[in-house]
Amino acid sequence: MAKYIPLVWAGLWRKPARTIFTFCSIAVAFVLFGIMSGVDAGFAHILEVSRADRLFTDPRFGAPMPISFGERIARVPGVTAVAPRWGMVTYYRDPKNGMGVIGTDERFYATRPELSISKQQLETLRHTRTGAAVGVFLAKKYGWKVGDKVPLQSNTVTREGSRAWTFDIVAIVEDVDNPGLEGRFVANYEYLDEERVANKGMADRFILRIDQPNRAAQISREIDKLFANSASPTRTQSEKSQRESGVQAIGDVSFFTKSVIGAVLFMLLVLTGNTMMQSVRERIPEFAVLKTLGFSDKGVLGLVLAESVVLCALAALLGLTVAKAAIPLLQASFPDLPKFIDMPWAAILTGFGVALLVAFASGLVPALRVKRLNVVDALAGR
Amino acid sequence: MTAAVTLTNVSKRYRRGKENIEVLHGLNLAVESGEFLALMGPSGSGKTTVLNLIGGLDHPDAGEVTVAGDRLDNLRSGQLTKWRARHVGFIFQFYNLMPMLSAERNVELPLLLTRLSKSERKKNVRVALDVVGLSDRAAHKPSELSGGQQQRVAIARAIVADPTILLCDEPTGDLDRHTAEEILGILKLLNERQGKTVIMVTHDPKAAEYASRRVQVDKGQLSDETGTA
Amino acid sequence: MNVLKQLRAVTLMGLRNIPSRLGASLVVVICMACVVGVVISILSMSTGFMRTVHNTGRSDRAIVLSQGALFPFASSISRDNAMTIADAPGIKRTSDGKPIVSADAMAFVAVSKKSDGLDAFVLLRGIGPQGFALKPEIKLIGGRMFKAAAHELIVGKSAQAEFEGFAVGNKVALPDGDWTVTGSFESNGSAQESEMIADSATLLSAMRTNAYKSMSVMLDSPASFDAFKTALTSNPMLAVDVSRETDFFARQSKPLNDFLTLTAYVVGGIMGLGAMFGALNTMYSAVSARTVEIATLRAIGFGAGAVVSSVFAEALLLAFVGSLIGAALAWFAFNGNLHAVGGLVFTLAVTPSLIALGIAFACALGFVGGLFPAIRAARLPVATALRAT
Repeated sequence: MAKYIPLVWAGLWRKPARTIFTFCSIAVAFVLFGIMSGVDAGFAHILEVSRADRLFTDPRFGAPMPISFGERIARVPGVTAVAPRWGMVTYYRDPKNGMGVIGTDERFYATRPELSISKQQLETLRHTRTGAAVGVFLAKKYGWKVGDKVPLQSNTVTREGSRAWTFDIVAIVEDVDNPGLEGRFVANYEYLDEERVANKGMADRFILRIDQPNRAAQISREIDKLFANSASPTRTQSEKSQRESGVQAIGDVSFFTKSVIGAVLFMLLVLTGNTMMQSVRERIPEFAVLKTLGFSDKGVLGLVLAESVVLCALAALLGLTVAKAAIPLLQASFPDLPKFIDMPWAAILTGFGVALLVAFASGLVPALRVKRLNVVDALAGR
Repeated sequence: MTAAVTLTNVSKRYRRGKENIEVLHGLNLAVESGEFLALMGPSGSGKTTVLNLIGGLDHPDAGEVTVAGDRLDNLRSGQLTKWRARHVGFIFQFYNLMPMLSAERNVELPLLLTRLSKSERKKNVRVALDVVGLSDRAAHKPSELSGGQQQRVAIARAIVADPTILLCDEPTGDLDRHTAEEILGILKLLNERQGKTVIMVTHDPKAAEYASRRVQVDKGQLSDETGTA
Repeated sequence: MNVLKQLRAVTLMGLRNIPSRLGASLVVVICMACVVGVVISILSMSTGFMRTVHNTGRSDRAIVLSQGALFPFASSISRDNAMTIADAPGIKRTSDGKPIVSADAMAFVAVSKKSDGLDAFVLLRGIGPQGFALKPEIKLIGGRMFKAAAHELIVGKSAQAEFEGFAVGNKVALPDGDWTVTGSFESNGSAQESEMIADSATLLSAMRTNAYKSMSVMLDSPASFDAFKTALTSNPMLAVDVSRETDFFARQSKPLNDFLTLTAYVVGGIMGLGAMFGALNTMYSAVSARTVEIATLRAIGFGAGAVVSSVFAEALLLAFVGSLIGAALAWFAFNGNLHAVGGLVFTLAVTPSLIALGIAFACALGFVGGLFPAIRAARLPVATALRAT
């Protein structure tokens, strides 16, 4: 089969300009295809690593909940860990460097097993009142190391009337599911609650871990029933369903990416189909000569399809490679978001498969034309 | 000597627009193995049609076509193609080379259909180019060759798979006198030295002189050069 | 023949020729339609969104949040502070001397979207007694106004359209029992139409809290803003951020708007590049196909300028037709559709300016796509071209 390559190659270069332009179109289209597939896969990944065994209990109407709720939640069958949380809005040095400080206790890490923190570090955090564990992304961004003292400004006022809160970094934490992107600032709830004037003894969320993910909905309802008639009714849902709604809040990402891919592929089919049709039409006499030399009908059909495949495959390869290189750049321009764009090697294979489909779809009609051509008429110029 | 080509009572009709034109009717022709035959006649007389039938490019509507012992009118399209690759070499007026391939690669084309290895193909191509005297131009593309040189490449292509019969349709029609004579000389060489049967369609009497026999095709029927049908 | 006449003649010849090059010409039209359709669709989200934002803010209204609060829900303003703020200079007063201000309480209610059944949160805003004087754009369009002390509320028309369970007469589950939807309102296409409104005092007591989330004031005039702001920020008892409403909403909407615009550029840019290569291909082959014709024209005496321009004219025409088709498709598919992003409901808007942008973009692509072929056409060596058969 390799012996036919020079012939196939020669067919492509009959009109160099046309081949080059079509090649560029296909390559560009596959750059977009790669990026869109990457975004689609990235968001799917976000939902995938969301855990159905992690639940959040939030206030139903926005008002914070007493911390005592935590004990009652812990008694619900199926709940293996409960951590209270208070989020404090702060900034580091410049109001532009906004940061959410999470006031909680070591049970937080029991509910988030994907965060890597050692027992020793947890001990240190517990014993250091002003201690904080920060994610690698934050640490890298501000150049923080274990042992650093970090002053943050908040709108929450302390007992002394100050808005400055100082923390000591005791650990730098990595997220196994999203390497390099962990950006949480975790501190001791006790410190926050002691120092603050308002909302004492309140939590704005409880994070729970349950033993059976398939009971998530049931457990959520039980918890909400506990507090339905209290001053702070709750709304409990799994991280997974929360993320699904959250992703939806951006709009239907999957619909969007698939629509763009659809438009691009349609455009590509039209373009490539036209090029192949034109190219073949101009070379009818040459295909007729090949038939006189003894090339079978199926043989010349194969030659045309091969041309289409070579063109599409090479161009797609270039486009997908550029996409793969561009993706880290895109991810970096949205530093606040988790990994939302993902292009593993499997995706390149899929893209390649799509390229082959396009090649066949656009090459089929011209190939059939050539298969069926009447040698005598073609040679006579009819 | 057995006849290389026998056409018996062959008729062929073509559809032109709404009309059916009978190009050949009841034509009989016998060509001996090793002959150099010139088919002559006015334009539209059907001489190219005869060539196409002999080469298995077309089926007769009636009659029998036997070439190199095989009944062509009984073969199906796929079988015909394989048969053609083995037994026949074509040479056209306008050379019909692949513009983007070098002379070597053009000549190699028929061999791609065989099971020969790459080195064997290369060897056969060399030999063919030697015969037509174009070894030094093997790497050139058709656009870099003169008309005569291109026709020589076409001849090399036609003989590289060692067919027994060469079919030539106005091979010197586009060449000047001197070059035409060179080409006809090569054809004569292939006929006399290698015993190839050559059937050449031409309207040029000077070209026809190279042939060992001349026949006239007129209004779909044959007559030899002495004139009677 | 003068230049324009030449141009017209050559162009018409070329255009009449198109049916024989139909395939390639259709390619340009279809490619442009795809690109323009996609770009306009993306930008219709941003346009619709920004329209709502724009309709929401007024330069003679200001909004006050506690210092450092990134958004109203994170802010907290005590009753005392609210009174202090209401006394600041620059605030417009009613005929009987009351300051036109509203200290707002807020709660979020979980709802399902009608379109896909997924969850969203709708804001319930409790406004003060002068709330409607502050926001004259709010007009009741159905049912009746809520009664202050009762658990009653009115719902914005976008919220009613997009989310389940807000018909007049329905009950909404809230702290301290169910509240009744007594009416619906519109407010000039602003973001308020995605919200529910009730009485602030009633909502505060139902939520068992004492602090408001934000405070909005009507200024005497846009110029009074500076005096108002200075008075508040220089007061040591207060720790607040003061912004003009227009600036505030512009800031809030910036991230999403930026994101949508960036997406439109990236996707549109890449697709446009692909389409441009398609145009190049078509025009190159058009010039090739007309080589003899062009050379003949040149030999007769038509100027190179006319030939070049006719190639451009053809490319631009194809691009223009394609862009119209793409714009029409985007308009039919998306214009007027409701879209909910993070609790804000807005309508996608395919505006005339957007369509113009799409057309301009396509024509630019067509221009570049026609440039090199046009130059090639002008440079054709007449003699060799005439010899070609």
